[in-house]
Amino acid sequence: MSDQPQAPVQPAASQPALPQKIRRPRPQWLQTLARVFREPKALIGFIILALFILIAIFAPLLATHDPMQEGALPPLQPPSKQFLFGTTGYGDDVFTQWVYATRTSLSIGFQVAVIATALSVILGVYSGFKGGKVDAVVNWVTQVMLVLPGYPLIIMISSYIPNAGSEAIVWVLGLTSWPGAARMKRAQAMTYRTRDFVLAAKLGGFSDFRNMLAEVFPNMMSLVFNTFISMISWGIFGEAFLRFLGIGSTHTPSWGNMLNQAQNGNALMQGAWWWFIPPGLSITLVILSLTLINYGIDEVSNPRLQKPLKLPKALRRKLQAAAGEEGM
Amino acid sequence: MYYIKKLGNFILLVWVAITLNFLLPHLMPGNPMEALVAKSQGKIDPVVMHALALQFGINNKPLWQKYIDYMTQLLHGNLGVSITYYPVHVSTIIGQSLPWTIILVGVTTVLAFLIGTLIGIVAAWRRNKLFDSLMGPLWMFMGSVPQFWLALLLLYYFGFQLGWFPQMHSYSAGDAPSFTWRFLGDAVWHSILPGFALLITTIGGWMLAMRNNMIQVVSDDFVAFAKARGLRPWTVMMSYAARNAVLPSVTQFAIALGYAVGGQILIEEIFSYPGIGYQLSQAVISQDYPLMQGIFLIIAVVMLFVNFAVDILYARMDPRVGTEEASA
Amino acid sequence: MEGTLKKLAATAVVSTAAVALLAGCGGQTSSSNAAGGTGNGASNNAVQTSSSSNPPLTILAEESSSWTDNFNPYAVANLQTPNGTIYEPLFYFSTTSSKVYNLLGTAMQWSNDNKTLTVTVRDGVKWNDGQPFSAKDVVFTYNLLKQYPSLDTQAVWKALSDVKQVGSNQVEFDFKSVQVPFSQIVVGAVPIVPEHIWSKIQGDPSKWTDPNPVGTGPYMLDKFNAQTYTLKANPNYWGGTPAVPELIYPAISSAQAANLQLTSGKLDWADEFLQNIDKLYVSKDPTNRHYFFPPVADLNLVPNLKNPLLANTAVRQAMSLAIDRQQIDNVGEFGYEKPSNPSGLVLPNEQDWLKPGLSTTFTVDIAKANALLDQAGFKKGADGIRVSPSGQKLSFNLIAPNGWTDWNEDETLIAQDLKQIGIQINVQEPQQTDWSNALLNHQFDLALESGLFAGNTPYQGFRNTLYPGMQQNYEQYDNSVVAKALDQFASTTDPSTQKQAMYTVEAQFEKDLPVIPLVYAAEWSQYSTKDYTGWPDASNPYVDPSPATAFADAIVLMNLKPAH
Repeated sequence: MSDQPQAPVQPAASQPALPQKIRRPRPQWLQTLARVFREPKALIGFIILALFILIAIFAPLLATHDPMQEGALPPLQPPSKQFLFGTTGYGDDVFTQWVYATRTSLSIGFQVAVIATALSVILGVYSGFKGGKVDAVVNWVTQVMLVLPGYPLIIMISSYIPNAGSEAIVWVLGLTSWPGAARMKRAQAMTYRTRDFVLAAKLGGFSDFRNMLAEVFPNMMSLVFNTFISMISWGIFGEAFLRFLGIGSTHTPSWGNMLNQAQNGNALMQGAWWWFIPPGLSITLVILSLTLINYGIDEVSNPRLQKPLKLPKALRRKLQAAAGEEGM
Repeated sequence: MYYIKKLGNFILLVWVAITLNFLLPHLMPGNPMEALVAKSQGKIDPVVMHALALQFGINNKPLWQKYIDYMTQLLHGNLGVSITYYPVHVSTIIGQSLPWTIILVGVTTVLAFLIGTLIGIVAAWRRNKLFDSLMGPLWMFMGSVPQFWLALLLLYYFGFQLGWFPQMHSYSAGDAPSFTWRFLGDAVWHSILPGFALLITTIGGWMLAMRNNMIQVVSDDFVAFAKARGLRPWTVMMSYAARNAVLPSVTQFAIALGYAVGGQILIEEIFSYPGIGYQLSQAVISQDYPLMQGIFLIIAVVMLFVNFAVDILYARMDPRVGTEEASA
Repeated sequence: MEGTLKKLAATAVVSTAAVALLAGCGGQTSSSNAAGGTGNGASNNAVQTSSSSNPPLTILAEESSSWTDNFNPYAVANLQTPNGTIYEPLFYFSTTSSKVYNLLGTAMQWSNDNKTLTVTVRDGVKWNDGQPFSAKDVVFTYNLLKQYPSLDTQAVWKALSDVKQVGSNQVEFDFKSVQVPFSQIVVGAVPIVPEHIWSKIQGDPSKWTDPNPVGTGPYMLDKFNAQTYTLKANPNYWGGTPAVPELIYPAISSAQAANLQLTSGKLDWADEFLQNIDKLYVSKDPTNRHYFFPPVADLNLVPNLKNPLLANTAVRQAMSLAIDRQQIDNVGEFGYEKPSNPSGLVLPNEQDWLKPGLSTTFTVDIAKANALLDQAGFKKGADGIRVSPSGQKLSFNLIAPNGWTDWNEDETLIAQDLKQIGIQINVQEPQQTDWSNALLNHQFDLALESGLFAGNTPYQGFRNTLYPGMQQNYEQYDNSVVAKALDQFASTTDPSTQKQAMYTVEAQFEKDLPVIPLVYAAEWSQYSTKDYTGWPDASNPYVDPSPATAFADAIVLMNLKPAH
């Protein structure tokens, strides 16, 4: 996005009184990202996430057993050298299942995030920026979608899809999760509608579409990235929820499926914690890493969250004095 | 004028929600009889389908006719007869499960909001001090734990292994709801495990939101003035900063309370808690249209009402909203 | 075996006294009287002298998130079925033995070329509100079903032409055609309701919730709330006071929650599927905790016979030879469901009907399976999958409902087995409804499905799966020899003719393999002998042991005796 031609005019001087965030900032998201990495919490988040992504990528190399061989191993073996995470009640190697599940669950999370983020950006930014009838319709659909109870709706839609595989789950989750994010983007895009630099671009005869791409969108990068990260979480949670309820194919190894199988196999009742803990803990860690990343972005991109400058002592004293004069 | 417009919008949205409620289940493949026969795992003979069709009133009337029938019934306050619990009225089922959901989910929502907000206030006030650096990661972690996974761990460890808490239900068998201390104590006792699972995973969200809002307010001039005037830190924190920072959280809180009506599908299922979330998911799975529609309706109307109320509240507190958002 | 109705009417009338006697025989299981146990419940230490001081039984029949105040015996979906405990039929035909129990009826007599059945009604029975019961109530009940087809959940009026009272204590059932086996449903599955209550209902009685049920059964409603309801002994019961004074039914929403309750010793009688049951359940109190999983039907691999490849008998025979049924039992079904046999009968329940000389075991023979396919002209392609002479791949979709974990496991095992003989199986798990729709509309290649749990002769099961036009004939099998034999069976009450007819069906079944039997679908039941003995078990499977089986549950309850 930084390659986009700069806006022709930027009348920053005309509004000197307003704080910096209203002045049109440069699309400096790369710079922002660098600052995010300097935030220790975000850094930890990135490290955890990277670890899981590596596991997902190298799943076939890491797997110690054939993931497709049902019932070949002795059931309910505790973790050992041979079975790193033990075996399930059905005679599968938990570690092998887990590395493949990591692959499935992460990819579902990313795909859901792509769909939902794209929809929320397209619908939210366009309707917010454009206003008028388009906005009214989109806003309406958003409002209705927001009041329908999410998970039951997802269960219902899933039942339309016989033998719902991972792709189906991705679409169901992706198509139902955009409204909240779209509303946020719409609200922000609306504030740009009347900003000077946008008005100027409009006057300059540029099309709405170009203005959105060149003027509005780059300024919303942090919000978009924020949405993307949240939607990965939503996708991973949603997958776990649906599969735990037994919706969708149970043959793909995923964290939700592992939990579903462990629960149906009474893993905890049989004391087989090694069957139940890995998928749940993995979900926790990945969601935590995403939360940390989002937190870091927020901390860096929201100027008002930035660490306050220590006021010089002289100034503080002056303020104190002024307050005193004002009278108690 | 603004209020009238909002009210009109509210009514229109309710109508759309009702229509969607009606349409969604009717677009689902299959019908409740087939679901029932399939669910019986061979215990219901398909021969009985005819009697079932008669009992459930399944017929081949055109969709528009069914829609008119549905709306007419609804105007008379009749939500129809459940199929799962045939011939019990939907309103009876909602009546007997909604109170428990409101008690469990409602109370935990309130508690999570209060505790989370309070921690958020203190964390922001003592930003980057020990309290803040401990609480942030702790609650972020807790918020990343999948609720149902935590609930199962609690159930197996504290309910099954140790036997400290009841494994299911909202009160002891052989008791009947009454306003005695003994019964109330028993009900609280039964809600501790599910309540704890809900509470511990939702505090984080409120805390982070409040902390962010609070930090922004803390840097505002009037707080600096209040500090400078030498007011007690506690007073400044609570009466000046928190009071202003809590507003966005209150909006979210109202919406969360609305969502609480929908119940918690998995928590209610795991603890056999007689709430509405589990009823809804079961209704969806067994294609119990009337029950599904009834519960969707209640949730949608409550949610729309909450949104409406929040809008009105906002307009009263910030007159600018009335003009700016009138187009929405 | 005294399996035919005529003979039953004449000789095998099992009176209540005989029931009590049977319970006595069952007493051999009560070797578990060791006092003390694990002391899971505090209330059981008291010495029981009279029935009323006996402990209650906590029962889980069906999983449900909550109960509703609904005891209508005709509401099919009703999970808290009052059938058996509160409402009784005329007779009960056991599905796990050849026993017939006389409930509100005491004798049956066929006449008019097996088109008229005369039932003698029990004397001295009172409804639990104290009103006397009579043949008038029986006639009222059947005519109510005729008037309101929505109540006729067994479709009895499809076969009946008239039901009328004869004399003071007899009821005559006139059938439209000769349908001897179906009479088991007519007189064995319709709960009798009181005229003095049900005649006063306004409108369609199927829409009535019957909150205060008045029946003739051994129990009556005591306390009700959405989480738990209790039944208490009916003091007027014609069969004497039941040993268990109180039945407690908690609402439990999921199988996992139910498993927890069961293994914690909080349920006395349940029908749960539980893996490693010996370790998880029995081992915690081996003297008192028991389970009995009798076979009640076949779990079949159903081929769609309209598929030209699957219509080829050689393909079906080869599949059957390649499937390792023992592995399905061991891995998929946790050793609970023994391999089926080639006759299509459920053994040992139906041993008496087995044609002498038929083999009773399937064997795995990959070489023979391959040879069969080679002979039929199916050549292996480069990918190892066989191709028909006309160029079609032997590749099929196999469906079983999503979430039926044991069946889903079975699917994978079958796919692995068939891969060895060059048949590719694509495992699919649609939602239950879609699976059921696919079967009903014959839109599938291969499916897993178990027969109905019904009938105390093999007739009903065979008719359901093999008779042309039957709803459960999912594979669309059409064999006139089989159809004729089944018709012959239905038209006679003579046991030797019925046996010959059955033998014909069995022989055809083995030859054609219209469906491929895998393992016996079992009925689940767990029970505790801590307080009561006399449960159905392998040595005395007098009725279906599941607490969810309508009518049978009450027969089990009336067979229980205090353990101390």
